[in-house]
Amino acid sequence: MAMFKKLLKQLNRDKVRRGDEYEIELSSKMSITVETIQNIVGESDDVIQREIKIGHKIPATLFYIESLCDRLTLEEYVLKPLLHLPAKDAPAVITDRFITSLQEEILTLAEIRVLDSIDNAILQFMSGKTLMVIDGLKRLIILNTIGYEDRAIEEPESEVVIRGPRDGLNENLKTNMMLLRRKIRDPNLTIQVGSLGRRGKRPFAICYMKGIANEQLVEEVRYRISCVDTDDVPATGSLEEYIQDDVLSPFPQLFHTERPDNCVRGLLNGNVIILLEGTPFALMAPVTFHQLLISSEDFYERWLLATLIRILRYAASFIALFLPALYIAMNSFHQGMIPTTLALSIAGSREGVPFPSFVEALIMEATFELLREAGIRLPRHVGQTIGVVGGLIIGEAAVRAGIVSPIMVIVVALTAISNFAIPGFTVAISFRMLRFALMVAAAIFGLYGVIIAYIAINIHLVGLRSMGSYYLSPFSPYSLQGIKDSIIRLPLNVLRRRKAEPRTLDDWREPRK
Amino acid sequence: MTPPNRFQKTDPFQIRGVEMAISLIAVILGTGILYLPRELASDLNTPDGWITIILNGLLVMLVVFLYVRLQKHFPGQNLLQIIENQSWGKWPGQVLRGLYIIYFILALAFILRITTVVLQIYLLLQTPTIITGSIILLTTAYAVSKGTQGVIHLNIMFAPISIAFFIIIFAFNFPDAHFQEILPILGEGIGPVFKGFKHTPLVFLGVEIIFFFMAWMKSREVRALPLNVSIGFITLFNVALTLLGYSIFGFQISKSITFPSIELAKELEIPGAFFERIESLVITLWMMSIFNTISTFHLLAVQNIREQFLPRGNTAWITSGVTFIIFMLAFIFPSISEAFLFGGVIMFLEVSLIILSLVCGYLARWTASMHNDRKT
Repeated sequence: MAMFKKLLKQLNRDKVRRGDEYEIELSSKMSITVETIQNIVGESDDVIQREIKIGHKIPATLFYIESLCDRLTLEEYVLKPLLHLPAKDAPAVITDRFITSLQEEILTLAEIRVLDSIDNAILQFMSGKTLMVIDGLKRLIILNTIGYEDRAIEEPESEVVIRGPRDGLNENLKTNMMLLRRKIRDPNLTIQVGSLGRRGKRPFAICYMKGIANEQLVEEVRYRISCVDTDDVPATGSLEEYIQDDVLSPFPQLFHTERPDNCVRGLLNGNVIILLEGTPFALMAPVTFHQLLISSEDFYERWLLATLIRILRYAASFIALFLPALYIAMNSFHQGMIPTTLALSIAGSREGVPFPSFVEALIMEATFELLREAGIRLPRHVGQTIGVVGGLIIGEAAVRAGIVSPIMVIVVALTAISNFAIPGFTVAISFRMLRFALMVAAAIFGLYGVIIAYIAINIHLVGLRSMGSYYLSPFSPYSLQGIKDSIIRLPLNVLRRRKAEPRTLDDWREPRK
Repeated sequence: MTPPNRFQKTDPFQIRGVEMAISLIAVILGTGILYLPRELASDLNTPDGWITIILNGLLVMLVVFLYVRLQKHFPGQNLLQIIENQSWGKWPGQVLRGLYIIYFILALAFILRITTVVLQIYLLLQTPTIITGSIILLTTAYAVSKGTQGVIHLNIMFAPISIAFFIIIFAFNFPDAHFQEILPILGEGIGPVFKGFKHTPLVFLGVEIIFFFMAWMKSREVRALPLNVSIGFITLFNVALTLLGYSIFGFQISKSITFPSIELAKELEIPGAFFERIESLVITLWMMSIFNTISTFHLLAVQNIREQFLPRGNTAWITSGVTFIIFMLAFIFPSISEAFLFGGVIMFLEVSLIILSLVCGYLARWTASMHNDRKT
């Protein structure tokens, strides 16, 4: 709520619309209040002004936004009771008692509020609620008549699982909160709503489990979000950039997910979830490097399979990061490492290639990145064709033309496949970027360059924090409990404690024996 | 736009007992490979050097045990602070700190020079050692910028990799070993074993870090056992390395190979494996271990200089200054054999510093207890 108050303060300080000269004034005379509201929002054509007489007697004006308001609700639960009110029930002079009876006896709407300030009311009006001005009342009445079209709950495309729930978050904050509430029916699940952006005023929600999440962490998240002061925050990706710890780092310091089950796992682990209106991606804070390589499916499969798949995933990350660099290093510096027969065949296949292996690798990697970017932009069906054309035909043609060697095509393809096997999209991107840095290091210093680059990445990672949590936990700082659920996943009945990061108020998942 | 991280204040960094033990392995393990078993073979003239290593390991365990007993009385203080906090301790403490600074910088220069030579022989034949050396130093300077927490965490990250390096060497060399080379055990009596002490303390170069890092530990986690398990582990690995070196190359040849342990890696043949000559890969793994040693020493040198000369104020330039001095010193030696001779000086400094520190430390404990008695 602190956030909300801060915004309102700004609203009061600045003029709501710059360049206009008008007074924000709440008067008991309806005409003055109506004029004020017209001054603020009257220029828009979708703002509808409807004048009625409550109980055939008291003049009142309703303002609503056509596109955001549910017309049926308005007609059935607001207009009908008000217009059909018997004249004897309507007093000549508006009293507080009448307003109370309006709320308690007359209107059948779920949410009605009586507000004292125009700023506050306008903020809610802009989200689709109906604003009622009654003659003789120096207050405003807000009626919740929000209703607009929404996307259905669909399976998230960026995080597909075979075995597991298929629901995904969508663009509506309320739906997302519902999805979380339906999975955790614990009164300790706390959802706090605020609004973000000077102009956008998007609602966002901070969700955490009271009694598990560290109060300091929640306070930190709240503080950082309240520091964001900009026109609009269009997506959680933008929010991430404002609130992350290290802007220069190539690694994501907050976790993106479209899956409510991932959010629930985070909540029960003591993380804080940030939901934002208008984006299906939730942010989870804090995150550690190893959590980025975890898929929710790991907990739905049996532990042996999950462990093997995790090891496979770590191997994939290794390949995605190092393979081209290792190829360059071995080809240009340490030919002795390659078995003789293979070395001969590599040399044979590279015979017609005019470039050093670094340039060759750079060409192929850049081509691949290009294909990938093009594949995302193109319509879905054409995109597949581009994949085939790019992957098979261009690769084959490039080999035939003598621009690259066939082994390079294998290296690039293997790297690409491994990159796709990483479940976290954001960490896959950091690997993509670092791969090029490693390739340059390998081209200059061979294996020595690769290892120095690897050490430098590690130095960066030990210094990195995500909302105050160590990024490399559970390996450093070392935690045996954490390692049980990192590269391996032991059976669930062994994982009796929560993860090492973030620190929680209650470390145990199961009652301590 | 990023708000300041307010967590650090409320969440102070602490080293756990296990982490300290792993850190010891990471720092000490990598250096042994530089002189074993060549120096031992030429010092002893009998293949009994491994007994010297075991004896030396026991002595180091004693040092650790004594220091831990001392540390228990002064939680949250490092050795030099313990001494300096005594009424008599200001000057001795500062002298000791000055000696430690000199020792760290010299040891760094020495290790750096030998590392670059190894790199030139086995990894990058044509790149000048000055370049490879300066890259390592720049990387460690970056690590130093992350402070104690960063360096300790790096040690924990890389320790499993350095252990893997040793296990690879042992596992794949074992079938080719001829263990009759190490016989007869104690063929010339117990006498030669003690000659080995001329070089074996270098194997445990880096044990001094506990004097500085244990101040970061919770007082209830200050225990000698995990640390001594690490020392035992290191001793065991170095003994195995020596024995393997003798039994693969033969005792006489071990004397003349510059880096026998790395030659062991060269002998590796993994049956059916993809890679043929694995030594460059093994050297890269060893690089991490030596990086741990260098970065930890670098950090301690920088921290001690800061504490000695500039307890307050902007001290960011100290790291670069220290880096430059180490770099100059490392490449002053005209040749590697002179660098190896220099190892003797470092070893002398190491041993005398450890003894001096323990004596001063226990003196401090004695005066502190006298003081407390008088108060009560």
